[in-house]
Amino acid sequence: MNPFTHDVTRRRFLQALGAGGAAGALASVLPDELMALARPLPLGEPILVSLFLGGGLDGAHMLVPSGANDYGHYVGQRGALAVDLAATLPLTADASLNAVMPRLHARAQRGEVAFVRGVDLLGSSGFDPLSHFDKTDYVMSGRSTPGGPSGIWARWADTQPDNPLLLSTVSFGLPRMFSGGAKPQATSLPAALNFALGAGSTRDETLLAAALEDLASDYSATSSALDARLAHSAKFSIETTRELAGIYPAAVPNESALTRSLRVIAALINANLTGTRVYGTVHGGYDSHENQRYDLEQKLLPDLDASLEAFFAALADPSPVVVMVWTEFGRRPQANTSGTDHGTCNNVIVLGPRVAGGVVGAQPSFDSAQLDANGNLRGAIAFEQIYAELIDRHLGGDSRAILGAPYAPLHILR
Amino acid sequence: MLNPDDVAHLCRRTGFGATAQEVAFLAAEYASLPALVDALLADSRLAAAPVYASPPPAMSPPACASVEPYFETLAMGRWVLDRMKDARFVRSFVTTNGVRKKKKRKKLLRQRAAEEASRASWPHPLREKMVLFWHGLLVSSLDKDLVYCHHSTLRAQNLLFREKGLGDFGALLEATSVDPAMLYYLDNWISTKDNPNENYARELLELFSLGVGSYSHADVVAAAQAGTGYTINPATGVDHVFYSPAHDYGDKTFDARTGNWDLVGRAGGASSLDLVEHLVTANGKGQVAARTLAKLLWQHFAHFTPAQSVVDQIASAALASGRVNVTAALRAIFTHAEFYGPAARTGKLKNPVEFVVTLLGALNLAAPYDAEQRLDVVQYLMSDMGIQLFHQPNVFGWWRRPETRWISLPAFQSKQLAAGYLALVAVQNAAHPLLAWVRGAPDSGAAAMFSALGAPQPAGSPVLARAVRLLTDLRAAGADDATTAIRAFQFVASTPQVQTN
Repeated sequence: MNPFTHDVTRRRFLQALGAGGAAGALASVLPDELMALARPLPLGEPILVSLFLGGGLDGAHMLVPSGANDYGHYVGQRGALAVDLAATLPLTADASLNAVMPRLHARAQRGEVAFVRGVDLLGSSGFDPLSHFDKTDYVMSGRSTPGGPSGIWARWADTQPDNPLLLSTVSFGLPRMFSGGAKPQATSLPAALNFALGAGSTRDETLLAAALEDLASDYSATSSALDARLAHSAKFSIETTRELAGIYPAAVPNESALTRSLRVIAALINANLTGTRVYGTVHGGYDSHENQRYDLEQKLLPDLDASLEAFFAALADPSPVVVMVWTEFGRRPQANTSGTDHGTCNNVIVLGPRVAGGVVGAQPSFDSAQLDANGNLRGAIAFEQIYAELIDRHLGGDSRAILGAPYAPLHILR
Repeated sequence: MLNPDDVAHLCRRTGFGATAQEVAFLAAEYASLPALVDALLADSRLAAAPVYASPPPAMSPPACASVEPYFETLAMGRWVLDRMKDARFVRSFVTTNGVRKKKKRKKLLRQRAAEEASRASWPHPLREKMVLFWHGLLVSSLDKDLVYCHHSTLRAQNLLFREKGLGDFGALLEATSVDPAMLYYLDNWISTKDNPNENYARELLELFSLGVGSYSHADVVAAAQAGTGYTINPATGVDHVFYSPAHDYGDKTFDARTGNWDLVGRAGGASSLDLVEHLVTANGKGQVAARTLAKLLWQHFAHFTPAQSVVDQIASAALASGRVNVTAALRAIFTHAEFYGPAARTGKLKNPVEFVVTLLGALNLAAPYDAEQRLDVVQYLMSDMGIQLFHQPNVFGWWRRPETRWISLPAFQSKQLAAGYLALVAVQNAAHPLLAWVRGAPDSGAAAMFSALGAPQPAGSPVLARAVRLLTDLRAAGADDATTAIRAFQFVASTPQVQTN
């Protein structure tokens, strides 16, 4: 039997509305309608997992520009830091994957991975494109022009039925892509659930949990005051924990943080309790100003390769799931001593059974004559095109309304 | 007589709270808030180099493969938490207020000075708070291989923040620019005239001084060139050295001025221009840097959304001497009417460090460590609260986003666990007051917990009534003293009254 009885869920979601703080928009929704929120996702309902690699992963170190013309320019810029073609696994005539990612390569061979090259914010201004944090904010907002702080998936969620767990992140804090929506539809979940207030807890734990839940009744559910938010967060946390405690996967010794968060997401998808449509997870360490080869080839890329494989292996049914792997920017073509400074466009990887695999978009040229004024690559595909594709051809929704303009389809989803 | 609520507010924000006795003394002793703020800032402990009753823990020589850097940095974290927990504004309760006779007053002042001198090693709350501020702003983190290998540099950086965290911002920024932990963390140690590395130069301009919009990419490139040659002494791996062959003595154009720019003016080239100095002086970019710093400080101490006019007032006070001065900015903040207004009063969540220090203070515990299992439960839990000392997730630090992001399920869970764990440690001592509180009447026991956690509740407070009911219910359910104490403490620690600052 589904442990999510209507009674429990109704209570849970009613209370949860207060947890996000900006609950005013939902206050007018009738309780009976809210009961419908509890519904698990229908079979095959599309799900997106956005995996953000913060710091600016060097896309060229992962997907090597191996075309006859490109490779010479790439080696010319990168020198000793360039990846030897012998240490790559070919994908197409002009793209080869770093050989430390054999599992991703095998998945690509099966046609389930789209590598979109040269993705950037195009025609944007008003921010520092080489700043990690400015660029991340702008990309996560999904608008090329300054236009409010809301995130791309928060705006998409505003067009969807109410559910405080519609957007769930398994990493600390809500990323910009989930923040600033009109409705409180985003939640941060931990990588491990330890708070033993679920079924089977002792009498003293139950009394404590009840007292903590009751705190919320002293505060308005629609107040954005700090004390009200804290009290309602306590209630939401306890109720959510109680319902999710049984489905969290057991810890595996020496598991990487990336693998762990993706396996938690897989478990949440398998359990189908939360109605989450977009999952997010944010990981750092990709800012390779120095020691790039060792960090990427010995640690980060193998971890990414293994984590993506563990994620798909853990899914009971991968068919509705699309994963977007992305980073705020790529690296400067010209290497410094053992690394690379901040750059511009980069690859976005979209993978899953629904993906029409392949390498999409031209390789931005490493030829000095083709670089921009700061010596960086020139991208030709807009981030918004990826978002539009994911909305129009996967999640459902009106990408034109959410992005503020129409964007040319990429045809990376079947 | 000052309003005790104002004094308690000032003590919570400039430090980690104060006891009822401290608040009463400060409220009675000072005639005005500016006089109190001046007295706090004039404390002899801030004027001198810090004195440590127990020195920061020793650290092993550089080692990359070992696990010791991790555990030794945890020990440093406990030392930092303990100092915060032990920090006191008041070192002597000898009062001179209302004593008119000159001789008597003089005698009292001498007595007070003697007591204060004997307590010179008591940590000053504001210094501890500023160390935390800089730790979360001028970021160097153990979570980078070369910092990990040379982890003693993080210890040294923490001591640097203690010595230079107040007063002249330029002195701090100059020292930080060549600080070994920073040289490793943002790669400047490897930056040479042939291969300049932009990492430090960029963050210096973007995050540490000017902010996006007040520099160009060409400025970043020039700053990187100006910083070449400031590196690590290869003989020790943990000391700064200037290596002239790697320095770019050529002309660079920074802030539309062409000349021999030099990061901190120690390269000794002909007619060099000191870049950090330029960033902090009124005839350079000091106005911009002062506004950036003023806003960050206001957000840290008052509330997150200051009006531009308030930022400008604080910035202008900070720059009054012609150089950006941290103490001047703080004085302007702590004496600003809005610092005591409703937005500042209700708009602040305790950050994870403040929360943990509150728990340690309430239970009078040193940050616990299970040496046998090498387990530091509290610092482990702090990462899910949003701040783990010495493990900043990236150079963005901890203070640039609204602190409401610390309201989350992961944070709630880890705070619960931390409160429960510390209460469990406390009740191992059969004479701990926490046990006495739950053995007495529920209403006085609950009231004692709120007071110990820095949020005394008036009789009739609904949240106090809830705590009393929980204590009563636990007893009725047959819970023993220890279990009752732990659960009640977890509850009180989770209330909004304790969570907010």
